[in-house]
Amino acid sequence: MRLTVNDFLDDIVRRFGDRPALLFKPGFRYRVWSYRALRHASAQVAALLRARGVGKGDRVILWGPNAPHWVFAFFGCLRIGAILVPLDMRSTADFVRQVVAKTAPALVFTSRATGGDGALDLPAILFEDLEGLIYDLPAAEPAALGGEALAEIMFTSGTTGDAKGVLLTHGNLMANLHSVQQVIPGDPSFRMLSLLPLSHMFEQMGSLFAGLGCGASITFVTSRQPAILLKTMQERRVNMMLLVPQALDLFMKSIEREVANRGKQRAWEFLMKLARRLPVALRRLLFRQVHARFGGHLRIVVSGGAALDQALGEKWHLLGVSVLQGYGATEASPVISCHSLTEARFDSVGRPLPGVEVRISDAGEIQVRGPNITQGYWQAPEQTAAAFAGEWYRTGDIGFIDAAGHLHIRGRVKEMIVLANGQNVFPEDIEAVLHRNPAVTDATVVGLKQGQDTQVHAVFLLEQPERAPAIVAEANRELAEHQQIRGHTVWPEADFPRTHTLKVKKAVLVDALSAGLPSAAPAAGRRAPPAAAGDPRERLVRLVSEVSGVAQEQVLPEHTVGGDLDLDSLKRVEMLSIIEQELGVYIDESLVGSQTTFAELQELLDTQARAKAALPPFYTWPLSVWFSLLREVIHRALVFPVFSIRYRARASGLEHLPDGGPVLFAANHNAVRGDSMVLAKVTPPAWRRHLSFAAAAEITFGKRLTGIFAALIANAFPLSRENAIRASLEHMGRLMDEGWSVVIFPEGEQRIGRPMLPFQSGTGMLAVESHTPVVPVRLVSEVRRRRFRTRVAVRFGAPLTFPPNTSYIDATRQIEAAVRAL
Amino acid sequence: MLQVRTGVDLVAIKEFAGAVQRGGAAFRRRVFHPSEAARASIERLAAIFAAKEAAFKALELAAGDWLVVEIAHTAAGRPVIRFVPEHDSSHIVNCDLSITHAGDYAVASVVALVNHASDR
Repeated sequence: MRLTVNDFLDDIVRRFGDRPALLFKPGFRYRVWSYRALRHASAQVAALLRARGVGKGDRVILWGPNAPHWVFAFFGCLRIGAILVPLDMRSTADFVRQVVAKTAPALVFTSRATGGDGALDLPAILFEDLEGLIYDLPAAEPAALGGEALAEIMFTSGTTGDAKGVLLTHGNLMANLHSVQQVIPGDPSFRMLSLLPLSHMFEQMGSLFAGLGCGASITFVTSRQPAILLKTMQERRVNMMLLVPQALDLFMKSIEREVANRGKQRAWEFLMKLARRLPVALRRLLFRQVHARFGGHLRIVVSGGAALDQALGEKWHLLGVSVLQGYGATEASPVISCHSLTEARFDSVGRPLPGVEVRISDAGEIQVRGPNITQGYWQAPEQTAAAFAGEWYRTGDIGFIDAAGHLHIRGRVKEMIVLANGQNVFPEDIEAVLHRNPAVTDATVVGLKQGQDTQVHAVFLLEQPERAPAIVAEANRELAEHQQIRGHTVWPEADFPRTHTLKVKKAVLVDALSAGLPSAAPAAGRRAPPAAAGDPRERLVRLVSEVSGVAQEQVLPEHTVGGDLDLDSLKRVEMLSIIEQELGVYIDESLVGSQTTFAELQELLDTQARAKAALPPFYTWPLSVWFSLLREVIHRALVFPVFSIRYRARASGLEHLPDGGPVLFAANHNAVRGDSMVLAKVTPPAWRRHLSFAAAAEITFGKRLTGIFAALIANAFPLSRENAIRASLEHMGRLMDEGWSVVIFPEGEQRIGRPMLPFQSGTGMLAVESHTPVVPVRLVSEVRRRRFRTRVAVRFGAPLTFPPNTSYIDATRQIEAAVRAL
Repeated sequence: MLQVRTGVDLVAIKEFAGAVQRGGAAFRRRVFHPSEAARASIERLAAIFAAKEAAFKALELAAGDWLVVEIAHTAAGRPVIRFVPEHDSSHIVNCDLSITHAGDYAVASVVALVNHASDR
């Protein structure tokens, strides 16, 4: 039995050592940390913390987005016995200050993305700087700890009132992990995507601990832009993730909306009926177009954080995605019950986990005890006492256990509506009925005081607000007398106020309704709900309006960026950055001046979007095993013999090549015309078979035939300089991720016999951002009089590596100097 | 003919911090070399932003060419402007940069001596 998180880390390194643990794509290439590298980085963070005077028992705030750096900071703190205080990225400054005041932390790990640096009067380490800070630090030994040592204080923010810090020990976490693993053992074939915040126990236990515990790989994303999520799911072939039911509902609604738009409801209903009789493999085949929306590989979704509607779970099941519903509470570290893959049901939240005891109190409250249960709240003995009945933790949820041993949740005690006649109404029951109506984007039910009475009141997110009365009437036909909806409101915003796990903040809703929010919102002026994002032009108006502060209807085509919209250089770069992030279109800032009109900006957006669609071809066939073999045959039988007539090439310095690739070869381009093939010829076969050449997109790939020829003979790919540079880099990153070494000619143009040109600064960028060793290569031709054959010396230099955040200019200069020195 | 050119820029730190946060990673990638952003507080980033703007004005670079210049430091800690190798800076005989930040603002000033003959 693993006592502490540090034991767990040692254990997974022993079992999965060099397998990929964490993946992240901050630039054009995936960064991969193996289990061993993860432990090493964490131990380096531990050394950094000790050097900064942080020790056992000190509190450390972790306030940033999901990323490998979050994980290094997490395990680094636990290694030295420090106590983590993870905070949701979107926590308000007020909430964070409250937590700081309560916990007196020694340090904060944060990120520029949270705007966290400088926000707190505390020593801070930015995620963005972390790798640079630990780059040459030795690994620190772990502190001597036992299971009783405090690992985390998880602050839960209610909608009102004080923040409460749940104490979780190393032992609590390990006990819950042990229980979870018995129900969902998992295996190293799991490729997970971590989207929910790691500052929440559901994601922390379900993805981080359970994922690493079974040898899975966990991928993090830099953005939640739908296009990026889809691309990541495709590239990483993501087959498992944790989601809240609201996300499952949004996805399903978007599928159903598309089905309706195409007028194919009857075919859809028929297929859903047919799916009930088919095994999972056939169901997935039947709905393969739907699966393509999620990358084509998603098989398992663990749903938690809120109640999953039974009908919704069944729909996903019919599509061929296993949705496992669980139930938990932060105080339980957090899982209390969960379905297994072999016993998935949607009418319950599963059996209590092994090792977790559940009982139902006389009042119907679910109470839990076990080694995973918190000892209480941080410096809050009264709240702790109120949360326990003896050694049983009182969850505050009402439920029952059926004859088969499955736990069912009726609702939260706090959210239960007590009618004037004493009858209890659980909003979840009514919400489930409302959610079944496809016209409902979302709905929530609250109890609204009307004098002495309390009314059942529905609040909607609707695309067509005028349909609300009909939706209520339809639901009421299904609902029992005491559940009847007596009033309703269409919420005037794009979404409900929500907690970080997307639960609706009902208290905020009730306050707003009590304060006299109109019972039916006007359709005009409403922001489009997130599911209906609108076309890029509409989104551009919205973005420009948000950055400039000019109302959307006042953004006119003839308005100039610098004049009417008053966007100075800071605002301009901000606007273009947001366009890049949200619309996925890169617009070069040099094309947008102060005199650029909004209409011209729209035109630029369209042009760039079209250019993005008309990228040079990135062929994948030259990468196949068959083509690699064919290329080798062509090289040996044809290309090299022909080249041997013209060039006599000799290599030196091959001993500098590292044991394994990939590397970036940086070679001069001024020696001989056929430098690519000369280089290929002298490169040892093992390297040559995994060699790819970056070729000028405009020249080599300007014509289709030359492009195909270059791809076949040299395994060349187009390196664009203009607007497709990002796509070229992405392709290059993919090549390197698959183990291909890439040859670049950093001078940018070929000028035979002329002095070497200065290297382009993109060279340094490639070297630093690809985190790949750079092997300098110098080709020197020795033309001898009256001899047709040219001697070419190909000299390989020692690989150069660059620490994170090295200046691109410095890196370029170093690479150029290394090539010149050969 | 030699000419002295000057450029100055003032950045409101709070406004800048908002733009950095809203513009996210795309903003940082567009404006800063990683070497500039490493271990830099938001005040310092604002000062680097101001330095680049001042350099654009003094050296008549195209606005938006953020990555053509890199703001680095000498061993003695003095800020300097460096150009990417492919940028032709042969007409710049000498240039000096001074940056400061206090309270709500960051300020940068660039003075350059340029050779008029090759000046654009």
